[in-house]
Amino acid sequence: MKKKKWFLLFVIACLILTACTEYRVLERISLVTLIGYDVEDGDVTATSVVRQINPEFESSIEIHSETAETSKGTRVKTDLQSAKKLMAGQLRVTLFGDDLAKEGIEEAIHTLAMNSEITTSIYLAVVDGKSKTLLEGQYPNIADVGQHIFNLIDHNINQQQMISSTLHEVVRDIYASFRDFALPKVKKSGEYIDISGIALFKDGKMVGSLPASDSFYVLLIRENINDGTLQLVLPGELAESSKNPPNYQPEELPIAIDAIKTKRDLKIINENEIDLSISLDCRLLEIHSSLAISDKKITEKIEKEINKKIESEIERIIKYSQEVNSDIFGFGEHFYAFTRNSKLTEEKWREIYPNLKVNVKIDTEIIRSGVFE
Amino acid sequence: MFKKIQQKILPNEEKPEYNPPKIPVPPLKNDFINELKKIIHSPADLVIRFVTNNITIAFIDGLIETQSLDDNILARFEDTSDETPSTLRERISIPEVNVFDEMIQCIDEMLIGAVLIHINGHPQVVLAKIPSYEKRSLEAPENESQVIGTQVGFNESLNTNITLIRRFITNPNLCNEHFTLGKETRTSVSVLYIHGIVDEKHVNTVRQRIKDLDIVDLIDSAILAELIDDSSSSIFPQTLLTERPDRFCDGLLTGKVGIIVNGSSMGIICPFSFLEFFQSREDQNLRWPIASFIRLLRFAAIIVSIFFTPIYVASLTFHYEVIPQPMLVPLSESRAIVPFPPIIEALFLELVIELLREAGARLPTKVGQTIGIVGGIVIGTAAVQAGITSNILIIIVALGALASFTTPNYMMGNVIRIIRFPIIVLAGFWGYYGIMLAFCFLLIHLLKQSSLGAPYLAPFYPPRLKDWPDSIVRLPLPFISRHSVNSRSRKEIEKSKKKKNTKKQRQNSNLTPENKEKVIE
Repeated sequence: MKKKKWFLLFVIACLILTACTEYRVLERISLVTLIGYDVEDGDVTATSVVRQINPEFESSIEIHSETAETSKGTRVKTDLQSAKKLMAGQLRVTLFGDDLAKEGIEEAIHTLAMNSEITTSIYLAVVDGKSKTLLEGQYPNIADVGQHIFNLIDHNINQQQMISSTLHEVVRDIYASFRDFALPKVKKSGEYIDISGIALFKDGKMVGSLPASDSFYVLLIRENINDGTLQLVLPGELAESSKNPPNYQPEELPIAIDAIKTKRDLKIINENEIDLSISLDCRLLEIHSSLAISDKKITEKIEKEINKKIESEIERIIKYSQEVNSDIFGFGEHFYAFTRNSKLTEEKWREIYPNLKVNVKIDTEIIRSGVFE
Repeated sequence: MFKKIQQKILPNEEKPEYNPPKIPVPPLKNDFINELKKIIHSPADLVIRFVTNNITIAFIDGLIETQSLDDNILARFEDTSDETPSTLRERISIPEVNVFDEMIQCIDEMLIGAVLIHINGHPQVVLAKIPSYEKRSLEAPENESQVIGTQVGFNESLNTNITLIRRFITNPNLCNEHFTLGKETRTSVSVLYIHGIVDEKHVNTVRQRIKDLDIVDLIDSAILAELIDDSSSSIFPQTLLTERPDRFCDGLLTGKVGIIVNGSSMGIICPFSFLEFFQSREDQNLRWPIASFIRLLRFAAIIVSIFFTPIYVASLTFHYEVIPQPMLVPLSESRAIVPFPPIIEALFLELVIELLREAGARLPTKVGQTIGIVGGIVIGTAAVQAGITSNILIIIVALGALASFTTPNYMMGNVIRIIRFPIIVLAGFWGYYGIMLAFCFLLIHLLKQSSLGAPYLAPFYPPRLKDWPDSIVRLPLPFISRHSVNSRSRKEIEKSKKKKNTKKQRQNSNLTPENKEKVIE
């Protein structure tokens, strides 16, 4: 009986003595869906896209922009403008302006990762220009710019047209000693917003960028993929083996393939040389109709040409990353992981990487050449 | 605290037997009549008739069959002065005729349909039992309806109910033990089980618990079920109350103990596990993939019913982060004009649904349906338009209520509905943490429960793999062991032990195929 009394007391104490949790009723808060950071004379400018819920059964989008020394300071200032409490739990995308990216965004990412309210699956991206101008621009066809940019990045990443840049992955790359991160780059072009390329970072600072058309190759080097479309221009000699050569003699032969399954394999030769072999199972989507793709010999020829083309492109991209000394592909990590008693340090890898010899070998196999209904 | 109450009802020490004072039958005619009238307070329906000079008969009007009285008793009397109780007993041609010499006993028998025949000068009474049972005809069970299966339900007569069971199970091993319960009502109670299938332990427990009962009255089997429960303070029922004889027999055949109370149209089956409350007799009648689908649907419905509204309340109050983006706008727009926090809104709507349900159950049938439908629509639409609730919550609450009605057992359905309220309150105060807390408490409580000492959460805890094919799915009949591990007889336990041992022996010794066969034999 005594035991029961104590238990009852314990339960009542639990109920009464606990503090209240902070109420965050959905319609009584403003939801920040996107934040863009810029730097202005050493201060941070935060531009936030806020979804407001009105009693008139409509929700509207507001854009606030404030400048302060810290990002938290900008939030306080934005709060002063807003009728409802600002909450960042529904944040989907964080953008960084060009200038800020060049100065370094590692601190800003650290702040994001520290906030338990924010999910680690938000996307990070760099803006070509200022994020403020991007967000405050007039887009007649876009109702909610925050949602739009999220969808833009999200579907391209899901279709493996762009490298994935969730907070989780970026933080992982930052914490990994021998790896640099890359972010997608978005750009305002007139009344639309585009993904314009990939920004390469070194020690948290943007050091270079690649065009969006190279993202497939970057993905190919970084990981195994199973989606993504690639357009290639092969030399015109291939057409000689077509059914009626005299009529069709182009200089170039454009084709489109999409990856079904790729497998990347790294093999260390010595500490300055690495083999990168990628097997690419793909589907032929577009090719000139006169080419007899049912002929195995021709297919093999096409495969060979594709290999050559992709190899040269990949070599070019790796060379560029070596020039800016940003190891976004994680070669260093591989070296460190697959060498016994590796004494590799970050500084040492920075010296090795620009001169690293990468032997690229692609093995393409066309599995299907068009599906007819 | 609850144990104390229980102890009041179920005293552990031996209670005094029901021992009324013994009154001998007076030999003289007038003395007998006076004594009889004195004991039963001369009720209006007592009939006393003088057949001849010597013979007096007495019975209660309506409790006996008048046809039988005319044909088999009155017609047999001869106007002789040397008539004795023993000669009379031989002459009356009905199955049950007794001779008693004690008044109280006689009156007890008279009250359940016997005719007292007193012969002047003899200190004995001849009792001829010709009871007539006024009863409802057999009808389809209303509360546990099935699409496929027998369409007959129990009625209020003990004898009819036992007859129904005997029609299903024609087996000499079907045992029927009779008890009389209640000091005032003296209700007949029958405990039924199949010898050889039932676990004797359970029969002993039931017998013991019924014998230990010291109650004044017993009107319905539901009261008896509560009294013999393992824990009457729990919200969960531990014995099944069913009005279907096929379900009752199914219980008996799987080794359970059945109890039938006279005057109640529901039989009790025990021990019963939590999972079995969500199974319907119909599951056995349907093809197994369909039955499995329906069972899974029911279990999904429980989860929806218990946790849907609390999750809504918690998400909107504390965890706006988890709401998917496409849901965000519709949810917040529908909530925008509601002046209350989500917990008040949810509790209000849940209460409205409960009110409608209760009103529907209490109102006369003809009014009930109209009130239910019209009330639901009017309150639902009007509440949204007035801005008291959001329309998404109405969908969620209605879905939860609908889901709770898929539980085949009314008692368990009630529990599923009521248990939501504390969880909603916890969700409104502590968010998902509160829901998890409630879930943990619920699980601990369920794990602690037992039914006649058998684990309540079997076959999942303790894990009894043999019973899994007939748990949340129903596999084809050959996979299902007929006797659940919870309620199997000694004989079977020994048999399974033997099987295990022979298996071990076989593994241990390298036997030739010929020897192997011998071992199996």
